[in-house]
Amino acid sequence: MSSIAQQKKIVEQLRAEASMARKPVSECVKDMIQFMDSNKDKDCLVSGFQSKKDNPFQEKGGCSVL
Amino acid sequence: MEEQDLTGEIETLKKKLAEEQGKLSDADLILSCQKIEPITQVNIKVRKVLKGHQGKVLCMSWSQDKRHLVSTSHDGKLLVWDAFTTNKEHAISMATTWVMACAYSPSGQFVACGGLDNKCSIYPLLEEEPVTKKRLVGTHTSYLACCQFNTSDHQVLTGSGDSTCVLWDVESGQMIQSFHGHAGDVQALDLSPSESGRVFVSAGCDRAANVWDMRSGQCVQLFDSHESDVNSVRFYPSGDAFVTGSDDASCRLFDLRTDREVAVYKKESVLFGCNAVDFSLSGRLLFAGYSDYVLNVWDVLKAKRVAMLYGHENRVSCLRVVPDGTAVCTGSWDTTLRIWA
Repeated sequence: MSSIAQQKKIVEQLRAEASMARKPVSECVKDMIQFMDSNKDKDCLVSGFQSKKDNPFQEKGGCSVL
Repeated sequence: MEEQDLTGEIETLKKKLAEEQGKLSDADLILSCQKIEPITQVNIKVRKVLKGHQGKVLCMSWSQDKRHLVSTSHDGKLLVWDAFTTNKEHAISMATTWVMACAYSPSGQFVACGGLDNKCSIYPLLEEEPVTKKRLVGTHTSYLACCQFNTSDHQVLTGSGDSTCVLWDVESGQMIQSFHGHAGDVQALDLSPSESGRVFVSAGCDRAANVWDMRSGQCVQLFDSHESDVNSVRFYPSGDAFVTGSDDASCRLFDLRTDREVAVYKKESVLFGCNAVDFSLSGRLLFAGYSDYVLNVWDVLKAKRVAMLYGHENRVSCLRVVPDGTAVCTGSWDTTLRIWA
């Protein structure tokens, strides 16, 4: 691509970017927190497992009934 | 003359863009989250160590079955593991070294991979001898750095050292769309979980992260606040934001709708480059693997580190959280992969 063609492309992109509709940061933060809250219980790495048995990667220890 | 006009307009537009981005900056993520309870500890430790590679592990990808994973290494090996038992189910030797990219297909029937061969190849796992059933999907003019299936087994998106990304049709090997805009090697890409098949983000050695419209091939947003190569990029699980990991030892969170950087994850004591990033299922935790062998865990809302996890004996090169969020897998130059849960 020639440098003029490249620059034209940049101008095109910047024009589009400058005219895009944006949301205020406060709203985005609210959405992010809400998403975390509604998925918190499913997030085992945050909330842990209900019991050790629920962790599929836990080494099976002790005895088991055959 | 025309060139001067264009340069002038670019400058004017950049200023306007910065102004527009500033206007809606009515809050700060970290300040807004001051009242939220911090995460004080995470109870995560190594549960499995996957040994079998004889070279540096460069890439890994989970199957949607949440149990199998594929990994590739610099000695040209591709291994498919059962992560529950640590058994190796497939071992494929590639005709190249530095297999930097691999991806499990959504159906679990294929793996895509490539590296210094500049090619993206696909192996069917259900066949008796996958290695003889190899299919070439596409070829770049430089190394393949990353690849990901696009919503089905039929399309693959690749990123390359030739500074482009390409969407390929698997069956025909035809290029569906190419994405030009990076001024350096593309290192990483990720498809939007909410706008699947329509939006993806790529990042690379030009220090930038580009958001692309997959249908038009147009870059629609560009974020370039990193101070060095960007090695990894991953969407926030809602699809509204994404995080990057860079050689400048920081991770950054960019929000698409507000069109700006909303948080930086760094510390004075964290000096080494970050090679891999991913979120926990809810997006609250950010896992980041570094060149000083550490897996750092960050509280996304507080931009505070909540844990330093040691285990690897060389740089952490790749990491991914299991699709159901039960664990995180890291791959390292120490030739092993580790499952943390």
